Amino acid sequence: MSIHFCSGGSPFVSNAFPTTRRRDFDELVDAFLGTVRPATREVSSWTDGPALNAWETPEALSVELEVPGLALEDLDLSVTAGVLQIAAKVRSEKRDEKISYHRRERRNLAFSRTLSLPFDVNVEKVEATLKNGILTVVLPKAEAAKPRKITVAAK
Amino acid sequence: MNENSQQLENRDARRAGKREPSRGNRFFQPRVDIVETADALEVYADIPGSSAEEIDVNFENGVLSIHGRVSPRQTDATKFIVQEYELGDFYRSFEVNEKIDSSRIAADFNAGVLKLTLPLSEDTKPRKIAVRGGHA
Repeated sequence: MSIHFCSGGSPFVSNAFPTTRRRDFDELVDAFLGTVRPATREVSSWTDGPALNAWETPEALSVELEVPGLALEDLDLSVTAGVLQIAAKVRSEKRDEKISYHRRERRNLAFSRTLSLPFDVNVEKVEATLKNGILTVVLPKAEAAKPRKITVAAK
Repeated sequence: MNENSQQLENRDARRAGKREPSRGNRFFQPRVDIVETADALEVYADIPGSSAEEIDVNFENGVLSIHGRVSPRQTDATKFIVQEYELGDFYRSFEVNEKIDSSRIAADFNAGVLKLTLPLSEDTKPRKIAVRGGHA
């Protein structure tokens, strides 16, 4: 059994509360029913793109998405006016015409996710890696955005 | 725990629609495509974040089970700005009604996708399948 909350249509992530609430609710349902979680890792539906995690370190912002089956050339990254956009084309998997599908659950849609960056980043030094279906993007902070230790001089 | 009782436990867990009782962690069901070609069943399972060494595939008595372990990629102290998913192992099992030649089952893990090829035949011997390494 699976219970989905439809969180609004916008893929623009400005705060994390709706998904956090959804997770809390899912956990309650899981605990009550003792169920194995179905793979509801999407934001709200297939068309919204894969779920996204982002975290901050003193030097950078890291963003992670699960994109199984995609290659780096399928993915398109851009940073414009403080917004990171991660887009992907339809996965190209060649399959025989004569096959019949017993199950067809895997995502194969183009998507675009955007994340407004909480600070200025050094666009020249953005790095993306793809390993075992996990895309990780590291966006180093611009110098002005790094935490600075201020020494107070005693007079 | 020997392999047979583990198998049994997996199947019981599946039948009851529950997590495996021996583990406290949450499991995710991988999304799968199952296609039938002229001579085989092909299973494609999305197991992002796992690796060939961390995936167990078993086929016994017509039950195919897939368990992909996922190692933590962040520490507990990580300051998430956005957290839309959590990490956990992937587990799923299927009853396969077709006759499968279990001696020729092949498993390949690449770019977070496990591809299993189950050749159709009369043979139904139990067998553990080695997962070949990824190329990406």
